[in-house]
Amino acid sequence: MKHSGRWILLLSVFLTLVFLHFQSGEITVSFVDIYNSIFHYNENQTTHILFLEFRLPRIIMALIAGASLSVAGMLMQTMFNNPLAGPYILGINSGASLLVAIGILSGFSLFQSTGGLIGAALIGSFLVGSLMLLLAGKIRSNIGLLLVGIMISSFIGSIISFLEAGSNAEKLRNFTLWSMGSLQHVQLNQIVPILGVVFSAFIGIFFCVKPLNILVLGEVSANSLGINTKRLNLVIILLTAILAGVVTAFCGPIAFVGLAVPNVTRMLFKTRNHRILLFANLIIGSIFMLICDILILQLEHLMVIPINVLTSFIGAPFVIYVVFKSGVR
Amino acid sequence: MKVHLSFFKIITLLGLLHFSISACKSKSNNSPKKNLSSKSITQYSEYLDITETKNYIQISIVHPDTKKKYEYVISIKPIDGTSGTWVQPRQKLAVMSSTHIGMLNEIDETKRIVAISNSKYLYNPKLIRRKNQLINLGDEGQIPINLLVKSKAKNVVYSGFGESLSNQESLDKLKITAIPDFDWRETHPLGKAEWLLLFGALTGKFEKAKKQLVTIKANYFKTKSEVKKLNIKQRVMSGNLTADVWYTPAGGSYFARIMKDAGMNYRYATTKGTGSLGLGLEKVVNDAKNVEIWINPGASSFEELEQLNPKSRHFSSFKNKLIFCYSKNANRFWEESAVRPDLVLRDLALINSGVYSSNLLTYYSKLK
Repeated sequence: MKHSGRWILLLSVFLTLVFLHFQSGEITVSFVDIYNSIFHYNENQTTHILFLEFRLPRIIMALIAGASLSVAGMLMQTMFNNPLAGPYILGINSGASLLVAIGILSGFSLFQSTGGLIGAALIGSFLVGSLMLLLAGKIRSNIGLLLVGIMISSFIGSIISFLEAGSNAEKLRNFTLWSMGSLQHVQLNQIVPILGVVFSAFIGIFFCVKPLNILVLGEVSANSLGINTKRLNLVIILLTAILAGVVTAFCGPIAFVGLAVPNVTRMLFKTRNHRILLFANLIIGSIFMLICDILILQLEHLMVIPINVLTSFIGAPFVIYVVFKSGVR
Repeated sequence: MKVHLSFFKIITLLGLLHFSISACKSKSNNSPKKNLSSKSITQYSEYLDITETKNYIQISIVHPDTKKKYEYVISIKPIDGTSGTWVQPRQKLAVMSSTHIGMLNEIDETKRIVAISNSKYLYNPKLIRRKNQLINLGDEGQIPINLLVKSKAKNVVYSGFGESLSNQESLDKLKITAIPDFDWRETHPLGKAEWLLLFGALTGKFEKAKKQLVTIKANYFKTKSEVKKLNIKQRVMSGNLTADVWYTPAGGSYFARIMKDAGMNYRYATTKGTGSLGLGLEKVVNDAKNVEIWINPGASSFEELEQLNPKSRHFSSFKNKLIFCYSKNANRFWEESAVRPDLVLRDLALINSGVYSSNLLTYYSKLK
């Protein structure tokens, strides 16, 4: 099988990192703790609580966030035919943030629930994604599209600032804390519905693999080969909105994962086959977030670094690297 | 995505770090500090020295980090042979922190205030009544000079978060005196309160300020000695999670000292530093899951606390509903707590001894 060596390597790295994650941080979790916390859970045992209520949701959320944002980035890059596209840089996350900001700062009870928060993030992501799709037809340059994405993010940022200025202290604090991003707020009972939504989106993408492979040839070619590109683009935007929206709703805006990982995946596999790219992005995205979170845990005794800070720290130089390496115009 | 470092974020962060911040002095004894000047009226402050003569009051402020000295001579007329910037008392004031409002209120001089940082965070009823006449100057890092001139303030008291004010030169040209107030860097609760003397000097109410300070100190020591007699030591944790970091006072900080004086057995009392500790959530759970009392989670209700930190329900204090915050009126706490450490101490001592009645507590209340 082609790429089998790479798959084995990636899976080995993935499993090693999961093991390392449990062994990282000031509080390490042994296999005995894991076994006992699952099969003989005792809420008076701190190690049981630490694993089941803290470490397990955290690691699962890291995997979901890494995989979802990377696949969302892959979809954006294919749709816009631009290696610098990604849910964060094109303002998709900003759209989610705006609707979440309106939700939290307005105080409407509908938006205060988990479902409301996901719904708000999803609608926001979808609206900005659709706007970008509309604008992409008018802008020929890759960098131009990127700039428009950044401008939309800034514009949305200023709207959020207006909302912040006019809201009361308590709501403002809730939004501020959300916007700082975290893998630690998700709870065990929320993991199953999140997985359900994300998994459904992945299945949807799996069924779009063939049209995505054709879309790489360009919209004109894809249309001539019988692909309804308008409908496909809408599906892509919707799936991206689901993936980016769910992650943003629960973890806050996480930068650069969706941009950096799909590029690494393409460099590693040197293919444009989306069947391979989809699974590779799932694994490499998870690996990327695991590395970030392990670093956070390892450095915890020195300082606690928010996840968004670390992904930006690694991701931003990578964008510059991609610009130079690929000579994007 | 733009990073929104709004005023509120700064306030939130400062709120969390208020109980100290990063001055890494290890001095933490209970005795008064030895002053730079033996004639100084201040006993506990590390950054403020005040000497009084017949004709003037000499103020000497030391920057906690750079050790730069700021000298002011407060007198009706300029006096030859003195060193420092001449400041005329009883002038209109711009104050950049809630703490300053509390200090001025203590000597009944809020009428001098013409400009503040942000009226959104006001508690003082007298100032709220004339809220529309007050000029909002925003963040102290970027004081708008035109608004400051419009306010007719002659002196600006600021917190000195940076090394100096970015528009210091403009202020000098306009002959507006900027005076830093490092009360937030003090490690002794009474050292914080001694900054009241600065406001007393600026408003011509120096004697009143001294008298108030004597009362505050007496109250503080009285409560402290009563606490010793009771000998109740509840295990206590403090702070909450902000962007994955759990901020809690370090062992040598102002708030750790107040908790100790209130008889509390604070979980991180033996840690080094006078600032805040930034800890990971898992470590705090491991260290403090079973402590009896949780102080200052930054929420007024359990619902709000769960929104801020969904994992908070795993702490024993949450299950036993023994969580307390300065939530009777947070703005009041931020205005008054620096100048009234005796009242903060009293609240914490009551909580430590199991008295939670809202009528008896000044700033604190049990989470609803």
